[in-house]
Amino acid sequence: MNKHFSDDDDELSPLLRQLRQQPDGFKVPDDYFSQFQQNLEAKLAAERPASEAPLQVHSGGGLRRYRLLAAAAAVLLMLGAGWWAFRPQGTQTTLAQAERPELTPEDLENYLLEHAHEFETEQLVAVVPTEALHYTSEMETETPEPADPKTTKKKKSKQDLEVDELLKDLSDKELEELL
Amino acid sequence: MRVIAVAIFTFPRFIHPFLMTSKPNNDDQMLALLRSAASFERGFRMLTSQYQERLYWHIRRLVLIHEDADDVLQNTFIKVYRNIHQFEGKSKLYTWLYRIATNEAITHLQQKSRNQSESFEDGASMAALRMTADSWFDGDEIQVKLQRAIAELPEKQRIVFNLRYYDEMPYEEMSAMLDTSVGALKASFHHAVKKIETLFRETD
Repeated sequence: MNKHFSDDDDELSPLLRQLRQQPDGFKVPDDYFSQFQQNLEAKLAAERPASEAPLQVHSGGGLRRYRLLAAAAAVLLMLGAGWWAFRPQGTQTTLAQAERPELTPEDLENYLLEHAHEFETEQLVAVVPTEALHYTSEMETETPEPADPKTTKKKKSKQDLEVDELLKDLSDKELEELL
Repeated sequence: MRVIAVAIFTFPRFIHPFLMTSKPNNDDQMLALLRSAASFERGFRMLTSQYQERLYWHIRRLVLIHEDADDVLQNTFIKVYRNIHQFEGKSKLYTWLYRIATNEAITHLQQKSRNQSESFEDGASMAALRMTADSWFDGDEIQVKLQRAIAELPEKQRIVFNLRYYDEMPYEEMSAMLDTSVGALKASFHHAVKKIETLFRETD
């Protein structure tokens, strides 16, 4: 007998004490407890909607699996976006070249002539081989006068030469008046 | 030294096999299995296997008829299956299971009483009458008289009497299960015993 119950024994009449020692008359089918598990599982399966089956919500595992998949997808998306934003420039150039019509040396030469004023002379000299240049009359006029090595080694631009020409015709007095 | 330590550890098992019962470990093991989705079904099968008989007999003594007890037991385990994640471990697992089983049995009896427009106690008395026709009851006259007397008790007294008289549940655990003070439970049991003995004397 359970030691917790012995305290209450005095409360019970002899009949109740005696009855407790005897079988109470309740029975179960022979295989009831061995079959119960199967019957219960069948009832659970019948009551569970098909959509609920893969989701073990009560234990949190199913949702956790979906959360992991969503997190993995988000990380992959971020990695993809990062690669696209910071992909190597060489690849970009290659793609740009593929889309761009091929340039001939004449095209490059024409571009340089049209935009010569945008480049420093040193840049032009460095890029265009001297023997490849075709001098025009216009270019000759633009070519600066041979520079005086004593005053400056820099070549003067067309605008500077024109200013020099104008200043030649002016006396010092006229220049003072202008200023 | 090691021999002494082993002897000290194992000796109580020979004195009383329940002193070092493995049940709490079983409960912990089952709960660990039930927390993981991968092992949930295995854990639930273990839990069912461990507690089905104890819960069945507790339910059977409240509803009296085998078919009713079977229905209530199934509903109890379905509730456990769906709500085991709410078990916080503040009480013992079997106390929590007994509470669900008791609630399910009472709900079942109340539904039956409503359907037959009877009070709870009248419904239980009717169940005691039907019990004699149940093929899964073969008690003698005195056992029938005892079950009828128990069935006529108020709901709370009946639960307390059964838990104490048949299941020998300690008052402290009963208190946690029924949210009632130990003193009130002792009083309920005392009144239940007196009523049953009075009923026995009246029907003699």
